[in-house]
Amino acid sequence: MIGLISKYRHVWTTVIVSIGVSFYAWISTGLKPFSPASYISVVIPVIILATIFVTSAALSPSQIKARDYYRQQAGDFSTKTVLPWVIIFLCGIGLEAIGLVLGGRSVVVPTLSTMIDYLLITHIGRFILFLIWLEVGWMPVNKFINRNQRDQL
Amino acid sequence: MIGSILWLGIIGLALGWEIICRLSHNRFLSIGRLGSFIAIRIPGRIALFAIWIFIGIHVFSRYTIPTTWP
Repeated sequence: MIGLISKYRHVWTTVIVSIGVSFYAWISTGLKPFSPASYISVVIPVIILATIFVTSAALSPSQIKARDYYRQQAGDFSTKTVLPWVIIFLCGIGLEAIGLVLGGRSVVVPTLSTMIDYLLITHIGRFILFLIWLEVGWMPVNKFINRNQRDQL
Repeated sequence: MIGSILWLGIIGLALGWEIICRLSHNRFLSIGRLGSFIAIRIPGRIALFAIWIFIGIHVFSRYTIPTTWP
């Protein structure tokens, strides 16, 4: 039994962490907006991630591992390949600016926040978006840590 | 209404372009690679982290449910 547990240790850890994170996300997204508890529930994962980020040396200026890693991940590309993203971002910024000029909650041109608010009506919608937000923050740090561990072996 | 359609168009365009980038085997720049490019230097990493924090607080701590609008 102990052998079986240690054999699938990585799987068990992933399952337990996933359940814990999902539970946290569900509780967190059930809190009242603008309340101190809702701010704290967002700040807790930020502090955890920041601590992991700093301890994994990704923010240390004395080492070049992180810089090399991200340079390798970015690969070679020309400025021409960035252009589609620049156009998409500029369109988004332009539309957001128009929405803000019209008061932020205009029916004609809503802001991106107003659009997202519709996805936040249900608890399950908030829960899914919260998990996506956590994943987006965690993924690049996790990849960097995994690469570091592989290099050390 | 027009604004909502335009937003959905921009989001669709971004998703579509991301799919094309991923299918092109690094021929075009995906959002992940763009993020990695920004993260090469420490200020870039801090900026990405700050954007992530802003989104978290703005979306999950300061949201307004449309039905409760005044």
